[in-house]
Amino acid sequence: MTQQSNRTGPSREWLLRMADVEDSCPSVSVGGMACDLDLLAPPHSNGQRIFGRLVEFARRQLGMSVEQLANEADIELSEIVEIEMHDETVPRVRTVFQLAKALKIPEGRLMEVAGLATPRPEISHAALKFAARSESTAKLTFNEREALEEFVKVLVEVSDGGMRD
Amino acid sequence: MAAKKTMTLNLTDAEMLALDELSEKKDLSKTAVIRQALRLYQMVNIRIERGDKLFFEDEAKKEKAEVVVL
Amino acid sequence: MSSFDISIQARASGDFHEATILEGLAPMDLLVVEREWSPERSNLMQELLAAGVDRRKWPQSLHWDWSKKAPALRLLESSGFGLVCEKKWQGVMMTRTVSYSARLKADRGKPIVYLDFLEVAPWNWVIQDIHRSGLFRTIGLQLFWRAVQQSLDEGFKGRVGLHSLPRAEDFYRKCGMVEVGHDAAKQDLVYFELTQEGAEKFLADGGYK
Repeated sequence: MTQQSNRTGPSREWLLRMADVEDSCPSVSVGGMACDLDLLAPPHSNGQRIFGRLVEFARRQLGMSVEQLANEADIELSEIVEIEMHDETVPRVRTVFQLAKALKIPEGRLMEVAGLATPRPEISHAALKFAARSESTAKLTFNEREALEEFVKVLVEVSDGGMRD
Repeated sequence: MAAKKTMTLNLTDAEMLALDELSEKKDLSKTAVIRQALRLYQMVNIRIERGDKLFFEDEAKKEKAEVVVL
Repeated sequence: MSSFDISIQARASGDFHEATILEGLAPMDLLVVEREWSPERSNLMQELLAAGVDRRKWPQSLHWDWSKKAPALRLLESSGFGLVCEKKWQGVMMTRTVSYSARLKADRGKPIVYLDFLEVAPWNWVIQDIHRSGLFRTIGLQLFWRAVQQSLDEGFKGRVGLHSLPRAEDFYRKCGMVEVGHDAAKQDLVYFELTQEGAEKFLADGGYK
């Protein structure tokens, strides 16, 4: 019925030869599922969503809660929540400046991502959809591990609603 | 490959014939045809369960007809 | 879960390191992959921003989140493969066996292994703009080889299909895949197919008997 496959992979000689081919290409990624999940760059992108996601991710990377960031950046908590959660928010210049300092991101760049500096013609959707649901690789506490497993259960059991084949 | 269990399948003549034809057309063993059929059935059912609909489209007439799968 | 012992090459030394491809990843595994990879994604993003690299030149998969793909592994038709080396996930691949079939005329309608997803860990990426030379290479090759093997195992004679990202088209061309054409249903990505003949040659070149 099914053939037994070669379990040891290709020869080293072939690997070395093909590795140069692999290297000559910037990427070997395929895009079928990414396309279905709408992760490829669309023709129009929304600057505010990129900004919000970047702030969220940078914050979590630094291990900060929203409250901690608000304190650190001397910004209203509600404003950070707005920025991270709501796509329509247009941040104020001071806010962006303060966030850049607190999140250790170059101010000019963050201004640009926020759409406050001269915007580039295309902002990559790569940045926009940076979903970063996960935390950094700090050790998980028992509770965090439980929470992750609960989350996985929900993910697997409840809705595939967001996933199109 | 993952551990497998054996099952005996009783098929009518018509079913065996269909299986043979599919096996020929798809260039697959009969077991592989059954396996593909199972995967397809599961996939379709999961999608229908979450609210998707399955259609056949008449390319010439641009008409769609829903395929009902329980 | 099945496992396959292989090796991958370290760039700096050129040495081959023992690695394993695991087949039969569960949704939880993909979440773990994402946890392992996302800090590095963040670092790359910061470095790219700091260096002022034009976003159009950023790695296209920088923002991809594997956890979104996790539910797909519930289906029988989906298979998840992970390449592990030095106790870290170095590459991941997802394939499907039912949702797509061969489009090339000779074998139209026959089943194929469709490569839904293939990605190499961000610390392995070569990004010249920020002087990143990547730790390991040959990961994509090993995973693609495994996809062709899966096609053989399934009785699909080595037939594989995929939609390539623009920057990877040359790679798949050089693996012997046939460029079928831009697919409007997939945002105009080019669809490639490896025929049975192409698979035989590909595997023979790699020493498969």
